[in-house]
Amino acid sequence: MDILQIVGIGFLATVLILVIREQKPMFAYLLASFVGVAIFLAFVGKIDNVITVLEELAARSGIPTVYLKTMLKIIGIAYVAEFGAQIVRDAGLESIASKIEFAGKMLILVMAVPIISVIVETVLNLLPA
Amino acid sequence: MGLMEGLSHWLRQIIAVILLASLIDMLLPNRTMQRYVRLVAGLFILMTVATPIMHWMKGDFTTKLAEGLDAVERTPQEGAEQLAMIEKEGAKLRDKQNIQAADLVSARLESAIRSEVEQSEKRGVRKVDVVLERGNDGSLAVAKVIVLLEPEQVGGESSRVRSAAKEVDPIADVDIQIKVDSWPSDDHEVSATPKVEGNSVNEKELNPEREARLRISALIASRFGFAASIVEVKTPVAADTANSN
Repeated sequence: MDILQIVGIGFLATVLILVIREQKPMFAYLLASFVGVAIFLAFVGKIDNVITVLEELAARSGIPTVYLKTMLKIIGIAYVAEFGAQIVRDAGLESIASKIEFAGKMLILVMAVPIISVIVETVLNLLPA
Repeated sequence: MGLMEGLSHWLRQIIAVILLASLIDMLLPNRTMQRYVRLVAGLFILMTVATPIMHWMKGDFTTKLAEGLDAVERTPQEGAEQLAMIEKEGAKLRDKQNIQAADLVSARLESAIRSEVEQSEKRGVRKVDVVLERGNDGSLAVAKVIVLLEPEQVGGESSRVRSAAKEVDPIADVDIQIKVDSWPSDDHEVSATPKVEGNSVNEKELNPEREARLRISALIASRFGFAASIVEVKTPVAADTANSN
């Protein structure tokens, strides 16, 4: 049911934007971004269920909570960066969109640094000095 | 038994982490971020697989990892918070120090003015108030100096200061009598002299207090470099009326 509504809103917005774009490209862009934000905000709450399942899984199997927390943060960064980049890309500013994506990638890699350092330390200890 | 338990725990962990990684791979928005997220997920899986070795090599690597990740997360915010806190503390201490300095300055000034007035006027000073004011640039300036004199009592508590002040009056009388003696021949003059004497006595009764006040304020103003308008000298009577207002 929900998906029908979303698709309907998407179609409506698309038609409106196509009509408006001839006269006022600025409003077409604004409408596109607002529709995007609205859909994103309406359904970003649903991810809560998935995260609950993941947490349960982590608690049951006894994997450290750090793993799960880091993974979820990475997901969040990826989503937000992607969303912003697409909105900017809609306006035709490819270069700024790619910079936003670059920032997201950097943040994800920064998250990986402690893991890498622990692994590298272990491997170095493993080797005979 | 312990070995089997540890082994099953380890396997369970591996399976859970792989499941987690695949779920997260599914959750990803699109392909641009996929490589990076896969790298991190792969590192986690690798770490889980290598857990026994890590435990064997050194004790508690999980907390260390957690600390490292938390440090990556929090460093900038916490640094800013701490800086703000330290700055606030510094401002508080600076204010306190400024207030102490102002108190010290006003106390020093009060004692200096008191001793100055007592020395030059030979009469007691009940109270000296120095009111300091902070300017726009944070520098202190003297806003008002209030000197409250001891009342001049004739027969009250006898201090050397008062007796010295009393001695002045007889000398003035003597001076007048000398004047009278200098013109003994003229009756008209003689009759005029009491008038003069009466005038001077009146002046002496009315003005010494005011004169003394003016003198003291001028003295303080010149000695300490204040504007004369901010120096106020009061006698207790004036102070009483001020209080009753």
